[in-house]
Amino acid sequence: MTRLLAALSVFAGLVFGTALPVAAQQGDESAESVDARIVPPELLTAAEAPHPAEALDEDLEADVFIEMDVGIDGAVANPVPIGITYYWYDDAGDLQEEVGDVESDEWGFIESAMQAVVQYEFAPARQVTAMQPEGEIIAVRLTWRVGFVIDYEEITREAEASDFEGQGAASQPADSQPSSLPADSQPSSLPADSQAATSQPATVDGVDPTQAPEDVGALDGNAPVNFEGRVLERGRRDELASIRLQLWLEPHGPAFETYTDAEGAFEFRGLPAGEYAVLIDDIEFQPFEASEVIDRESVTVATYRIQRLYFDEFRSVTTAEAPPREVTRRTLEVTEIQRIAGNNNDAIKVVQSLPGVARASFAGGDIIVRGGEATDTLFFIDGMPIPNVYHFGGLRSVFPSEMLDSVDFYPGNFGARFGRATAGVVSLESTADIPDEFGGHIDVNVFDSGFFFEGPISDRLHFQVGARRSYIDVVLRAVQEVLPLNFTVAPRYYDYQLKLEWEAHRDHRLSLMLIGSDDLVDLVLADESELEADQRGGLRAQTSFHSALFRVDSRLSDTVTNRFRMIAGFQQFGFFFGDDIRFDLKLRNMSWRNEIEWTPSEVITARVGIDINYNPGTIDIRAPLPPLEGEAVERDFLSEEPIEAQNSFRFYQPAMYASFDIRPIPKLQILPGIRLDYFRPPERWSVDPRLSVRYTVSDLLTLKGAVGWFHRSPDPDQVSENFGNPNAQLEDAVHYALGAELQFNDYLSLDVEVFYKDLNNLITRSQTSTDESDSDQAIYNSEGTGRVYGAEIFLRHAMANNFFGWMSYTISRSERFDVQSGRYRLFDNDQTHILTLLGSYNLPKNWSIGAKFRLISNNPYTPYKSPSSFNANSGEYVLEASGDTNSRRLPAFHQLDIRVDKRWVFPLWTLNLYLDMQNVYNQQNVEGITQDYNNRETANFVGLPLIPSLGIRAEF
Amino acid sequence: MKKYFVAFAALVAMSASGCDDNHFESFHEIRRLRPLAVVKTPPEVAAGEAVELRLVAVHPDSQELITVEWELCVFASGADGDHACEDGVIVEGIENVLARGEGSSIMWTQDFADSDTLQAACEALYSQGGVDIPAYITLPNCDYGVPVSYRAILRCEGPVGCEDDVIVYGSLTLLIDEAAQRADRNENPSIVGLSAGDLSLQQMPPATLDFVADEDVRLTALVNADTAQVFVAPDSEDGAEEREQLETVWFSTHGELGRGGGFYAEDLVELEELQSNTITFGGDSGDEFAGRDGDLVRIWVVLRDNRGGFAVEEGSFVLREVE
Repeated sequence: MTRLLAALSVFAGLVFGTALPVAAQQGDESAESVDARIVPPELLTAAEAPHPAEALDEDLEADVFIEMDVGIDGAVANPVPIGITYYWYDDAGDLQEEVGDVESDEWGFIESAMQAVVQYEFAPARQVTAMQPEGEIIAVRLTWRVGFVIDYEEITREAEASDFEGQGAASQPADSQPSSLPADSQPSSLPADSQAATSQPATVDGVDPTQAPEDVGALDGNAPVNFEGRVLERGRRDELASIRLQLWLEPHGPAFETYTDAEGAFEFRGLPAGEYAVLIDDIEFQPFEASEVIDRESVTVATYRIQRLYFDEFRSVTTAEAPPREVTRRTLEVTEIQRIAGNNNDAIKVVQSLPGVARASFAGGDIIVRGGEATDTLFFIDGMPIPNVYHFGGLRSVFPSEMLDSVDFYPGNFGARFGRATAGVVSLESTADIPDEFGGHIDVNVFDSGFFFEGPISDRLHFQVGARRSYIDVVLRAVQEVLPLNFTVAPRYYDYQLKLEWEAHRDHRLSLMLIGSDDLVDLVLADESELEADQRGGLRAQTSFHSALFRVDSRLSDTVTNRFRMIAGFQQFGFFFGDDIRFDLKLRNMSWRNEIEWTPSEVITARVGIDINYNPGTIDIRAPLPPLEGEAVERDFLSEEPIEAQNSFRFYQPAMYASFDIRPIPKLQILPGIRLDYFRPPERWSVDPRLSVRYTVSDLLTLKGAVGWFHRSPDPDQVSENFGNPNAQLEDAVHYALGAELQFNDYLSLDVEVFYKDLNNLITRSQTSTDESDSDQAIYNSEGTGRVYGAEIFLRHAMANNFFGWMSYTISRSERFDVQSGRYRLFDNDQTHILTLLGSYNLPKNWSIGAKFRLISNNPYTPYKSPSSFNANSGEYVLEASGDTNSRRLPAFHQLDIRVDKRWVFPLWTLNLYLDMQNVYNQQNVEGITQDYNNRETANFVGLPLIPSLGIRAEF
Repeated sequence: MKKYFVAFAALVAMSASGCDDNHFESFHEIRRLRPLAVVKTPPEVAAGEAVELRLVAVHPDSQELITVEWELCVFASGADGDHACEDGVIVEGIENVLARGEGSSIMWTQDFADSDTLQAACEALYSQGGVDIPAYITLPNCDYGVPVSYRAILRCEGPVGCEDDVIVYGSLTLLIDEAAQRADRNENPSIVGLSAGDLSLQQMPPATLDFVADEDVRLTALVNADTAQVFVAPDSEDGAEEREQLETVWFSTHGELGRGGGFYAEDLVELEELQSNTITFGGDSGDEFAGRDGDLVRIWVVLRDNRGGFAVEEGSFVLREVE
């Protein structure tokens, strides 16, 4: 009889890579659970997947790849076929293969495999952390392979019997062996045990990939190990788990096989002495062959490095995504977003492509969230505030993406854990899972060069270190030697990072991270004769910060966890324009946070925390007041009367918060929270109640809603005793949101949300004259109000079929009340429609291509009278508004970015060459309007042209 | 501080964009009706004194007739680019409109209020409960003087005409008694001479200048250093004397000026930098504004001190291209 082989394989890489927990249905995980390790599910009972008869007649074999959930009960759900590869032997006996289409498998492999996997029973996956070494049962999503392999020995025997009986039967040519096997290594020579293990589709006990290495040949399990080793990914140091090794004793067998364990290790006991052919043939990797001479008296040790066919960055994702504490949190895995076009590997900039985020002008890095100002959104790393995440206001982020595990973006209604922001929060999580082997990369691109290394210092102590420096200044200096430029300019930036991660005890984990960044622009005109005397001496802007972040995570009991964070450092911001204008701020940043989490039952989790900022500093300023929102930059604020002060100050902002995660029924999640803040200056308290609710209607649909109150202090200069209003109110916003999440299948999801924001006590410029002794008559007051409303759609295709991407669309309107006109006007960055389409596709031979397309309503602007009037006092023409503020809009913005990656894999390292092209078709997008001297003629000034960025990166 | 960075980035971007090939007319090219300065004589006026406001406006066609309508209103509450002076009483006993007139200049005598009345009105206006003034505007020092605002509308009435009326506005300082007695009251600076190379540009008929296409011709506006007065700033805490800073701005009907202007500041910037400039002409290969053989070139230099004093000098010459 024809026998078929349904060899079932789990690829540890894929298991880990796609083991995305079904988060909403899981236990209560914190955001810090990203350092958890997942133990894959263990197959207990499999079902037969019959080889389709027609395929059998055609001697056609296949591997079917299925993504499926393995629930906490071990049952399989939501299986989705994601790939199929056919195999056959050509006339020469060589094995041929072809990737098929899952939508049109006319042979019936997929149907057979699908019917089988739904009957599987597993021991569920577990998530193991330092706090819970025994692990917590979780649901995961994994990729499974069902292999349909014809056992030709059986066929031959049947044929022989049939021939004897004169019936005839399909038979395989004698030379039709897998090309990767030695010609005389017939499957027929496999020992009986091996046959049983590989030819019985209904009994797969021997191929459980989650088990320790297991002999499948007729070996003595008590014999000493005489062949061991590890299987690593070529070009990386990743240990490959659940990889099958097959050995054939030359020249005629027998054959043996085993699987690597979680550390990529394998071993054989009692192998007969002789020369063996070693075969590793895995769908994800190029076939690998080696030859080993083994004897019974000594141990042969080997390390095999096999090369991945497709570099899927997702494979390394080990994140167990925490269940949401907010109504909307959009989590981006760093490995996922590094290859998005137009971002130059910059994970943080990808936030700008998410719904609710307006496009920043001049390709800057401002995160303008749901109609709020850029300063209304805060950045955190590991829960602690950081002053700056971008070099030069948006060119590059100050953290290498490799240091980050994930980027969480909250476009609104964030939990009580975060405060002092009225728009959104971008929360960066540094990676806690530093590998046990040394590795790193060196990256050279048009902007900068840098390095990053990581590895173990001891079993429990690991490190990461990195640094990066730009060389724009060096290039420009070289250019100046050739070209007669009328300026000398020295823009440069650098950043550095050092992290130590120490697992001090099973229940206590500590880390120390040193981070810093320094940007400098120094512009000096060679001919300053046209500058006024006090403007000579060049223009210099410098911003820097240096911080140390210390964190301790402790499990105090089975139900109580404590997290402590402290960040200390200093920052400096300097802006100097000749002798006349200067702004020199020096600030020490000190923040503490401690949060206790208590989970008394599965129904409720409580978190209580304190969050303190203390910022003493000094300021030396002689500069005009910076323009506020709604005040056109065109008015040339640098020419206005400067304010002048030198003084020291202290900002003190303590806060307490409590939040709860209540699940009265499994489908309902209620997330109330409250936060108490104190701000000095301006010496004001705020109480922020917040509530989010999620209801899981079905596997397909989750409904959600939230309302919350959010406060922030005005900017430091706005509450200054010297030139601001120390009695200003806190700016506040009330967020309302309603939405739905639809999970169509494992990789396609839709998130729809409508929102409304009510803005109050916004800082505006006083319209009445000042009496310095009366702060009520200060330069600023808190009379501004505004409103924002809109809807967001986020259609996301997770990595599947070698593709990932998303479509985000936002329609919104952000308005501010104009006191002078008595009407609402548009916000400076109001962008009615924001559409972003992006995707990345893996191609064969380690190529990948990505693209990002944006179509966005541009910013509004204020029209000016033409021609302008002549101010005889200054000798200049002065722009005067001829219409309401922001009453006109610039032409729509659209841009296509493309990125191409090619990777070469060497035994111990990989080389990645990438070309990241921004604005591929060189669209002349309008960033603003410029005028001639009297606004008689106007012209658009346009954004960045086509910018190809070629980079090379060596990883090891 | 982030706002500073954003504003700075925006300005830099726009400035860079200004370098783009947008073919804007240069501020220093006289291709249409242009006001250059309002020369107030004297630049500061005390009670009972007369002042002349002379609008220096030019048109590339010297035959064009330019008319000017003037109006002056009290303090800073009246005219600007957007607003004309409104009739009415600004404070008790003081009419808002001080004068109206036509012509390239207007004479006006400060006889509407004595110093006490002026100071009282100033304090009434610029203290709490007064006229709305954006808080970022520097308020007058009522112990020294207050501004009178003026507004002028320029029109072309001649054969060439001009596309638009041009509005000019500004202010002059009305001194309070004590300030009026100061010896360092501001006076207008002066330009001694204007030359191109060794050629005086103030000859009539205009002299002829030989030029080589695309080669610099040196221009000089001769200014004596002592035209920058020594004075004590009204808000000086230590009574220290300082010298006025001077600025020149150049205009021409043809050719390309080497720079738009220059500065002089004692101990900071040399006088030479204030006075010197260059101009190049394109010759026959250039456009009509590049300066060709036979063109009459008119040049103006506006000299300004940092206390509101002005002087304007005009020169001209005829081009003759040489190899």
